[in-house]
Amino acid sequence: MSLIRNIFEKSLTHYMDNKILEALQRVRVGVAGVGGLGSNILHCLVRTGIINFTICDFDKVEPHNLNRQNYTCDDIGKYKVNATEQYLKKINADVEINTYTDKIEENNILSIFGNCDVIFEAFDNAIYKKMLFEKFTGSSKIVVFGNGIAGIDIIDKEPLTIREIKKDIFIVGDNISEVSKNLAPFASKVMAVASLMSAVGIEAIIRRYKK
Amino acid sequence: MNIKVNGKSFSIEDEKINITEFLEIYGIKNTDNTAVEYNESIIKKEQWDTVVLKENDVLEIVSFVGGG
Repeated sequence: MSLIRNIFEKSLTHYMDNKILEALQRVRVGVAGVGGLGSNILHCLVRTGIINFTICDFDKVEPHNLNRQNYTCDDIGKYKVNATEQYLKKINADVEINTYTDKIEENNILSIFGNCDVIFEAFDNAIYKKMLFEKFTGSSKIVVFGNGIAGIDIIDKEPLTIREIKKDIFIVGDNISEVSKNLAPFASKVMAVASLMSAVGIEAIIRRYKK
Repeated sequence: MNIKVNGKSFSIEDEKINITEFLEIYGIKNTDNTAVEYNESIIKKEQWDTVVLKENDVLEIVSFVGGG
């Protein structure tokens, strides 16, 4: 049976079959990085019914994050994981969130995300994206990577794609637009990729965990 | 020799070619940001030179770009 503990969880039953909600509530979801991708992925997942999270980011909220990350001026100076936790609990007060402010490296990534069923890769740095890929693509986890999110233009540009490179391992983004001095990230495209990543992960969870 | 790369067939003229050499032919520029899965196993960059491709091998090549 699914958990119905508050008005939000009750409201979800208007939209989905109990077995789907049960599947979403069964998994632990890790989000590696809560910047533009991670912060937007997370509220999408909470609004869809996921309740168990592990989130990790060593950064604090800065003014230049606000153009695309799901924070407000009140959050400036807070750890992103703490601001995110506060926000998500405004949607569903009963979500359970393990927060880490460690810098993720080869030697701690397993102790942080090892018990997650699903991981969303939302790092800024390509080297760390690659590290997470090399660590978890051979595991039995569902893993969704974000790759190529920069720029304000989208018409006639490289299209956003979803690629399932093997069972339950997905790469989402345009695969080429790297954030740089000449190519900044903006809410419109970053949130589009975050939404696609959420959709892919949610479908993979239901596909695997619905009884 | 025919191999499969990112789900598509790919023909190579050379009969002896390792992963590093293949990535150059394939046009991968930033190898530091590139992950390679060879026949369903991850091969790290340090080992790319030691893996010689053979008929019907399957490669998944993912080049990551920064931004998240």
